Amino acid sequence: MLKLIRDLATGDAVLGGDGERDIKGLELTTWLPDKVQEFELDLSANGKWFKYRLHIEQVPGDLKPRITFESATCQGAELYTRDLDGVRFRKRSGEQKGFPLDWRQAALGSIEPRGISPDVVTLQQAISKLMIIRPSPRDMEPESRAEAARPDLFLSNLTSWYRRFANDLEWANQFPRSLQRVWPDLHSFRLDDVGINAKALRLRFAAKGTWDGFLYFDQLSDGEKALVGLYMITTALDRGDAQTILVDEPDNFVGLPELQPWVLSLMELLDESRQAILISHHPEILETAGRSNGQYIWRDDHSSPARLGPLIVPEGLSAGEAITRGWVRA
Amino acid sequence: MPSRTRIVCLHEGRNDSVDRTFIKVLIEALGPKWIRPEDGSNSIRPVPGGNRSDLMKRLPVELRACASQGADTTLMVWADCDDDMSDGDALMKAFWEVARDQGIARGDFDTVVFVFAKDRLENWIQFLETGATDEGKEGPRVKHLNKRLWRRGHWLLDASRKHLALCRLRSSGHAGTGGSWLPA
Repeated sequence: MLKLIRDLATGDAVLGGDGERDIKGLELTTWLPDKVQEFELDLSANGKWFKYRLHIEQVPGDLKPRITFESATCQGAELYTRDLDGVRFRKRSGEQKGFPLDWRQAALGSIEPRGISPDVVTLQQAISKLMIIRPSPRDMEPESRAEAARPDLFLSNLTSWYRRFANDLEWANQFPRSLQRVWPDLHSFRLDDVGINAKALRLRFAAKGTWDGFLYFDQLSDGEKALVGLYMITTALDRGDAQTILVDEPDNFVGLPELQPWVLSLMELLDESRQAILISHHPEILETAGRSNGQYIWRDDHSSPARLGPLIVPEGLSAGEAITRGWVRA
Repeated sequence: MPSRTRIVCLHEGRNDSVDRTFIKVLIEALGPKWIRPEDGSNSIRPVPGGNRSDLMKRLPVELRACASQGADTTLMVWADCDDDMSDGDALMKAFWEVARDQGIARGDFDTVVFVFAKDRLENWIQFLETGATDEGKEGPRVKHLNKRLWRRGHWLLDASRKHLALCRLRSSGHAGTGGSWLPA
């Protein structure tokens, strides 16, 4: 859902399109008969509170989904509003302006920064810094054909994303250093030319032992690939390339000795302007992240709505044990 | 999706001990309505508690946790009388004294369902498997994590089913007065 909002709001995707990032259709909520899904996102950026609202309609059949309503406010004041007739907003000069807009596009991704309230730009940037990841090492590309501005959902474009930062010396130094916490023998990363515009990521290891050499990213195990991805995410958060990261099951494929250091290194970074949301069942993550930071999402059965509540752990039990027993909601 | 745990079976041993499989299979087969089971993959939760004295210390924690989940959650304690307890009453008294010292009220303690093996669960299982056991010495210890995992898994199930059959025979009066073939 967050990915859908981000991709629409940044203009990366349109509803019903055929592009790689486009949203071809929506998954309607099974337990609701409504054809309109209403999303609301509250976020803070530059010390201000924003509310972004988006209503998307999808009806069965061949009709493509469309945006029926959209609005954004800053500190309670309206920045713009759109409906099926078009977008209406006030320019810095106070002049009321408007323009018609394709129902498949989000207004936030379509408004040009020039002449509008700087708060709209702040909101655009804040949403573009939402990073949503579900690491899947088996889908990660062995080589890159071009730079990628941001990682895709499954981190399959990890090498292309790395390629974007490869020339930033500060980034290129910081990233291996963060990974050296769990891989002390890691020396550096490098991109090798392997074809026209094609580059492969290579890791240099310099162990105390007998072997000192290189491994291509593709030669790493699934867990090692996932770990590289996780530390790239924390580096992006640290350097302000991401403001909020949402990682779905970061524990998948990752070895137990490496999981806790990653969670702790992530928690070191979090403050008022940097946020992380981890979705996990893993006891190591639940315990390390601290149960007071946890929220529990559950459904009573397959036809029930998903619910959200605080993580309530009975005294004397670990969070993992309480979740196993289904005892975290009183 | 897994259901809530309704029966917590605190037992001796570790994660790899035989007890948890035996207990789970036996309770599932018995399907005891009196402890309000609920369908689902996780309604019975065997919890290894280490040795018997560890088990005694753990009981108050588990009892409070069960109580926090409402009256339809039951704590069962599976333990062996071994050769230092004359009978189940003596062992229950030992459990009570530890629980009382940790602030458990008698009324709460009485909600616990105790299942004691005389002398040990290993002998119980050996009897069910072979038809005979010498309670003067400990029956063969069984672990899941060994080369005979598959075969042992099967005879554990068989032992549980045999026990179930014996229980049913006895409750229906067809097993006579118990006699020497049925463990007390």
